[in-house]
Amino acid sequence: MTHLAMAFATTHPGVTSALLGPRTMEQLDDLLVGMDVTLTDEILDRIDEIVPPGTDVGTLDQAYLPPALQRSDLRRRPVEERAAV
Amino acid sequence: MQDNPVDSVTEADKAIGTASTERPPHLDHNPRSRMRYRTLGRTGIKVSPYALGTLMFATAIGNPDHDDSIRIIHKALDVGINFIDTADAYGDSEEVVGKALRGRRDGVVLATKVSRPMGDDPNQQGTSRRWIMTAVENSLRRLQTDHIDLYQIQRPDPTTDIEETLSALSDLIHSGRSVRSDHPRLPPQTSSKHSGSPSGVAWNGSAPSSRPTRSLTAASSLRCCRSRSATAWAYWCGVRSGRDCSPAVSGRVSKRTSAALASSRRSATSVALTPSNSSSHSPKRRACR
Repeated sequence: MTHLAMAFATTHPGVTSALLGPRTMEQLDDLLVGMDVTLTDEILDRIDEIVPPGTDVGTLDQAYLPPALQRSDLRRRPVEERAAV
Repeated sequence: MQDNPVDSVTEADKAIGTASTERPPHLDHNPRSRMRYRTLGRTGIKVSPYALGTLMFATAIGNPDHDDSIRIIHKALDVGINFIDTADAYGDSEEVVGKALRGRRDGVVLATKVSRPMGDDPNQQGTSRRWIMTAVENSLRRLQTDHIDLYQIQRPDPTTDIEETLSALSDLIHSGRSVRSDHPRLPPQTSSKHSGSPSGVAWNGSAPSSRPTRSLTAASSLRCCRSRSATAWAYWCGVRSGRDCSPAVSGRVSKRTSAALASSRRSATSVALTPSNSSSHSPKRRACR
């Protein structure tokens, strides 16, 4: 699975490089075994079916949440200013 | 998966093998001769497709054994990985990386970050010029180096004017402390207003088109494309690809190479990036309430 994850990330033309995050030498060794993995178009098509492009699968590390999503008053003019006329 | 990777790799390997026959024999045993290095954005800097993240070294959730962590770093370098990413807020990670890179610094593209809180002091966080200038010196000291190859804003700081942050990053490049800076997490509406860039400072100004958008929905976040599994965090640590995004420019700038500085400024001009102090090109600021 780690090999698939790394290969998937680095296959993308918008991705220059993907991070390994090993904690132990064993984990690094295993990750390095996957360096020569090539994902075929068939595999990528299958992944696209399971997780359609555009799907946001990882919100955990996204630090920025627009304030307007958190505060409704930022999405609304004062009542008296809302009408066009 | 028995035939797919083999065929394509074999073809590519043949091409590499052909080229390698013209190289000195010792290079055939050099793992770097096999690694398909990629260009980081349009900087001209080549990095391995696998980068080594260091969140798991000397942090509360990571490997407590510094020597073991250093061995892991050396192993990664030995196989041709040349891109190491750390952060000031990753516990003692910067110190460990600094130790590991003694004598090997020149072969590494070193990235670190600023912005997350580094103590109880409310000013020891964020992206103010005041803090960036202090934080970068702290990182340089811990990393035992005189320059950082990629200096990243780890988190956006809505309390600091973006011009303040970008001009500070630009100054770091001009002073030689950072080769390149990146502001990976600007909210889209902010970054889109800043179509001009100080030389060497880059950020995500537009959403990558086409396939990239599976996980790159925010577009402004370089790190939003992340797959997580038991032992690997694979998230996007690269910069924008030339195909999908607007130009980013950087030049190798250091105290030693003032000529390169002049050159990088010229190249910046050639792609219509503007100096940070060019008021005539500064985006109009809107009143925000």
